[in-house]
Amino acid sequence: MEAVDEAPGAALDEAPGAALEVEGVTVSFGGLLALDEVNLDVDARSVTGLIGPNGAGKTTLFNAICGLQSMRRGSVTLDGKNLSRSAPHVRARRGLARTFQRLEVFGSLSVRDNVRVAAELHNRFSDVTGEADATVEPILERVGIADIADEYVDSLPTGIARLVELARALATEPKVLLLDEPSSGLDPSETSEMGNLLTEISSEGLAVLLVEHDVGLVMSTCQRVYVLEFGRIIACGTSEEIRGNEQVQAAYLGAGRGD
Amino acid sequence: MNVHDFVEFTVFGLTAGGIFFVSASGLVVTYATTGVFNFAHGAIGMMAAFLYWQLTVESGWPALLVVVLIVVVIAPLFGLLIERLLIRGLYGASLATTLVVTVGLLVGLIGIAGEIWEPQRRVVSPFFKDGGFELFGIGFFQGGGSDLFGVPVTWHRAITFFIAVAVAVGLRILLYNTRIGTTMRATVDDRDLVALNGARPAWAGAAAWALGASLAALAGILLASAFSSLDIIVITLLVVDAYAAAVVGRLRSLPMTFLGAMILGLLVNYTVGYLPFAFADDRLPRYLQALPSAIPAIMLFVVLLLLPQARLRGSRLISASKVKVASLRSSLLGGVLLVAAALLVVQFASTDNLFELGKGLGLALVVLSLLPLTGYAGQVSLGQLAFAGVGAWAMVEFGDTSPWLGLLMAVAITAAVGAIVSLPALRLDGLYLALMTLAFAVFMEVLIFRLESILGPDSNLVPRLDLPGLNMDSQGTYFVFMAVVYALLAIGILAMRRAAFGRRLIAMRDSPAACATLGMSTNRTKLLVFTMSAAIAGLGGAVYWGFQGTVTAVEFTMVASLVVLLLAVIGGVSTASGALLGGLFFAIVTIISQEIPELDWLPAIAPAVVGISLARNPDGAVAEIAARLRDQFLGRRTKADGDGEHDPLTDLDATLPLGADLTPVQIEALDRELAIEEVSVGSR
Repeated sequence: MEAVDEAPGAALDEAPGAALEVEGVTVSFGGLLALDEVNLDVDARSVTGLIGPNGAGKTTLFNAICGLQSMRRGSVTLDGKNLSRSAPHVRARRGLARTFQRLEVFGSLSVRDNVRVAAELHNRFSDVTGEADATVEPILERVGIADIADEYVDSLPTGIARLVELARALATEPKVLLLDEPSSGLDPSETSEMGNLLTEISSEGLAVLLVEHDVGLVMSTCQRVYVLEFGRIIACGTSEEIRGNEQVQAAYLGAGRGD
Repeated sequence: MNVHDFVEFTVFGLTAGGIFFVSASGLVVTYATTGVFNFAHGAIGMMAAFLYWQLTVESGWPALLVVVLIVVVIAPLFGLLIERLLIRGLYGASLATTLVVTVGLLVGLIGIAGEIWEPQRRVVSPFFKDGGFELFGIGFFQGGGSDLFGVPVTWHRAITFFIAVAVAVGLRILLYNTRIGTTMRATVDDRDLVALNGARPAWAGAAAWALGASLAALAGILLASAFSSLDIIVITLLVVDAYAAAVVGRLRSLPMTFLGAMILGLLVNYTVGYLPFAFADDRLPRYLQALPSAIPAIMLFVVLLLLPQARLRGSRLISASKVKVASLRSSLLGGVLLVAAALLVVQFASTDNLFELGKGLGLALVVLSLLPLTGYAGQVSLGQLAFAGVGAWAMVEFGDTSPWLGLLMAVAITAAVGAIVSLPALRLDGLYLALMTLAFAVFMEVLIFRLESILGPDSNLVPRLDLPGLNMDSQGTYFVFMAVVYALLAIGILAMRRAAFGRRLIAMRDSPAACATLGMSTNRTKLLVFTMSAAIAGLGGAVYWGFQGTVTAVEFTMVASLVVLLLAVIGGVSTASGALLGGLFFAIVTIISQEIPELDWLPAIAPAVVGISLARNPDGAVAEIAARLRDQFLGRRTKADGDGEHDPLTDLDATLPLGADLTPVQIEALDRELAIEEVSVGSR
């Protein structure tokens, strides 16, 4: 935890109260501590990175934040409201959306209907009175999947299916968006488009938490980066600080790294 | 309160609890190892009990030899056979598919047993007729009757209880102290990971089914020898009762299952003992004597209420349905065609055949209730005929004043009953909903429908709906009317499918976890669709039994409810025409069996056999053929199932526990994934 204290967080927006505050989140599977007192803030209008080796607990943290995994201790606060005891769908209605590392698309619906389901749910449970369909098309365009809107998601390659998940999450007009490896399965040019899209949507006010193995994408889009190892945050700082942090290199890149 | 009675009921209760445990432990072992819940467990026990009777009583073989032969040789081989032929291909399949296979097996085995062993009085004697032992100075059964506070504790009862304890201890040792047991437990958590680590999950699955069948057989034989006379359904249901005990252990924990079994055994026997009818049959109405047989269903209901909310699961490996949704135009066209076909049938069919086809059409209305529930939402109900029975009863009860009021009440009451039945299971995995509906079907069969104030022992007249200008008393007119009802219902359900609610149902089936993170209350959505499905079944029941003209309680058996599910799968569970095909299938099979006396077993066995063979494609054979033809003529190729869904790289994070020992394959995968910059893979 020392690294956290050392990290000056110079680039951070110091506005009081982040959009998403995670405090002391602890999750155990049997006797195994999967997450140990994890603290993390995600600010509005920014992309925050979360990196770490496989098995570090990144997906478990996402599950705990959105309520799919029960916590032993800790709290999850969204826009100042404590949601630690809320069901997943309540958290979602309060403005939390996510994508999944292991795909959770609606395979027997078309791309458009995947997004439409999300828009319809959002309209049902918010004050929005417009037609859900009106919000679907712009999102499909924006994510770049409008041309395959009538395809069944089941028949799409993994990378494109991840874009469907992203579009679906955006259709709920969230305040906080959790993305679990959105670039996996995308080619380099698609990945760079993804980076631009993330920068764009965050600049509109969204708080984005990004789990990603593509270090290039993390470094180019994230204002702040957390490093998780064995269920603990071992470092936090700007991209440059993380890149230069020896503890991070040792933990994340392994002993095999020559230089 | 009398000590003698209390001890007596306790001894009986512990004996029954022992049998429940032997049975429930078999269920737990197969479910925990393979993730497939064996609904045919009770039927395997029943077959074993009848085989035991056949060999000991009919052929005169020594009892001990027969027990060993069945429990150690025949039943395990049967379990292996089932696993090899039916179950092995199902790992990771959808709930509907696995359910249909074992439900089909249950119905099929009951049908086969009914063919082999015609109803007659069959008596199986207890293991030891005389002899006894002493415990703490209390003579147990000396010279055929020793006692505990004056209660005879027969050798048979003592042995039953000790067998249960031995099974519990033996299973514990097997699962925790042997290699195969460890593999079996690991297989539950992650099949693929077990395979990666060099163990053989297929072997564990086969062993679990062999063991499960063996335990079912043991339970069946113990039951048989505790009863004065064997009955196919009674023995099957008693083994089925063990579900309630297994659920106490959440289908995983053997110690909790033991506790559940003992509670169940004691509850049943205290109910027998402390309700006054046990002492004086004439003091309470006779129907209440069935109350003890409803105890397991009531217990299941209560236990499900107490279980905590389950974790929402993600998508299953095999989920997507390739069925196209019919447009308004084509569903209207289909409706018109159906009514036209019905008019033709009325012209040309004989009176007898029209009656059977009409019953098929009525049954199709009930089967149609599974379209939104199973076809769209992926939830399974095993009690649809019981809901239809509630509808038929409402028609009898309220239809006298006005048949339309009867219909209205049929819909309203079944909807309410459906909501109550599904309520405790909504928070849990779909399997628990299926178990709850099965318990409901049993509860209605053994207790409610027989009540004098409901349907009673005799047949009841069911009024028909009246329409101005039509003579609904004519079979032909009413037949066409049923076709119109089917067409309207199907058009309505399809319209709902194309609307927002329909999309939500499909989304919930494909990934409940994703739905929740988009703001859907899956509990509420499940409640709505289940209530809707029950209401359709109730409406179907009211119309169907109107065609038949009379209704009797014995028509609404658990097995008949299971057949409704099988028919849905035979026709295609996710198309609006599927239910019709399922109903017609049953009608045609019945007509054939009436025309050809040698084939009189067909209605009992054909739905099971065809249902099992189609279970892997619950969209139905028709949907598959249609899709193939469409592909052929439109030149479109569909991609293979599960393409790209399971990339070993992206799965690592989800499957690896912290600090796990890695296999070379995993290390290589990790290395590749971590090689984000110029890290060389071979550098370790």
